[in-house]
Amino acid sequence: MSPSNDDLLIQRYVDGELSEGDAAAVAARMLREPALRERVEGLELLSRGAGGDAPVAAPPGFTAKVLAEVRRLPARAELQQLDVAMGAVRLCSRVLLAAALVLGVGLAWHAGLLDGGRSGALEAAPGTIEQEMERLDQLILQSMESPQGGK
Amino acid sequence: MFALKQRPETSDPDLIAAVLDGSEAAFGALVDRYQDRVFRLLGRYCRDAVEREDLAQEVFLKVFRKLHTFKHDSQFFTWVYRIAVNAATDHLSRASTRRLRLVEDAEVFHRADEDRENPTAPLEAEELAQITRAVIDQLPEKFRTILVLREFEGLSYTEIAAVLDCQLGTVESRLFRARKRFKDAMSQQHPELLPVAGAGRGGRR
Repeated sequence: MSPSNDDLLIQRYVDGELSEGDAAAVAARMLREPALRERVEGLELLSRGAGGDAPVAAPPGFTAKVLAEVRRLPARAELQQLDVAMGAVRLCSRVLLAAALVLGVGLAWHAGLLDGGRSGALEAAPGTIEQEMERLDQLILQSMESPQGGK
Repeated sequence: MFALKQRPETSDPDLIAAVLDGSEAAFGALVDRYQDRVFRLLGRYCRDAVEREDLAQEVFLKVFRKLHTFKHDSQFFTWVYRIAVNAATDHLSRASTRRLRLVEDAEVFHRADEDRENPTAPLEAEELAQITRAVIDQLPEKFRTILVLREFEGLSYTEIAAVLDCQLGTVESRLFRARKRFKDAMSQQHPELLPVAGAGRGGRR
C-alpha cells in the first residue's frame, strides 16, 4: 500500500518534521476534521508506548573492557593493511566467482544445454544420412565407370 | 532526549583524528560518549544483559577497527548506529536467539493479559510499553528497525536515512508501512488499545 499525500503529511506532523507554519495548518485541519484527528491519534499510540519504555544504560566499567580488547588488536597501520588485504581477497573471490560462472555457462552452451548452443547431436535424421551416403557412393561409382574416370 | 556524556571541549572529528593518531584515551572518550545510546539501541533487539554487552563490545571494536574508513560525510553517531543496527540484525538472524525471543514475547503477552484485572482501566505506561515492544518485535526486521530508530531513539528522517543508507522518501514510505503493520497487529491482538472512532482527544506530542 502506497501512502497518500495526506498520510505522509500526518506522519510528518506527528514526527515533528513539518515547519511551524505547516504544523499549524495541520493542527487547524484537525479541529475541523475529526477523521484526521483520529488518524493522528492512531499514530501517537505507538509513540506513547515507546515513551514508557525503560531505558537501558551501559554497565559500569564498560569503557575499560572495550579498551582492554582494543589493546589486543593489531596496530592501526596493520588494521589498514588488513582492510586492504581483505578488500583484495573480496575482489579476487568476486573475479573467481565471475570466471566460474562464465566457465559454467560456456560448458553448458558447449553441451547444448542452452538454446542456440553447440550440440553433438546429428542435425539430420539417420535415414536421411543413409540416403545421402548412398547417393554419394553412386556418384563415385559413376565417375569410376565413366571413360575419364577409368583411366 | 538523550543524556550524552558531554565533553564539549573535544568534538567528534578531533577525537577521531586523535584515535587515528594512536590515542587510546580519545577512543575511551568516544566510547564514554556513545555507549549509552548504543546500549539503548541494542536493548531494542536483545534483552539478555550479557548478550547485549557482548554485542555492544563487538560494535565498539568494529568502530575502532573501521574508524579510518569513516568519511565525515555524515554525523559520527549515525555511522556508529549503522554498525550497531547491523550487529543487532545479525544477532537477530541467529535462529537460536530468535527462538528464545519468541518464547519471551509470548510470556510478555500472557503476563500483560493476566495482569490486567480491568481491561477498561487506563494502561500503565510500563504495560503499554511492554505491549508496544512485543508487537514491534513481531514485525519484519526492516520495519522494526525503522520504528526503533524513529520512536525509541528519536532520530529525524535525515538521520534515519544516514543510518540506513537510503533516501528520505524511502524512510517516509517505510515508516508509514511499518506503522500500518504495527497498527494492524495491535488491532488484532489488543483492539482495546486503539483509539475509539469519534472519541479522540486531539493534541500534538
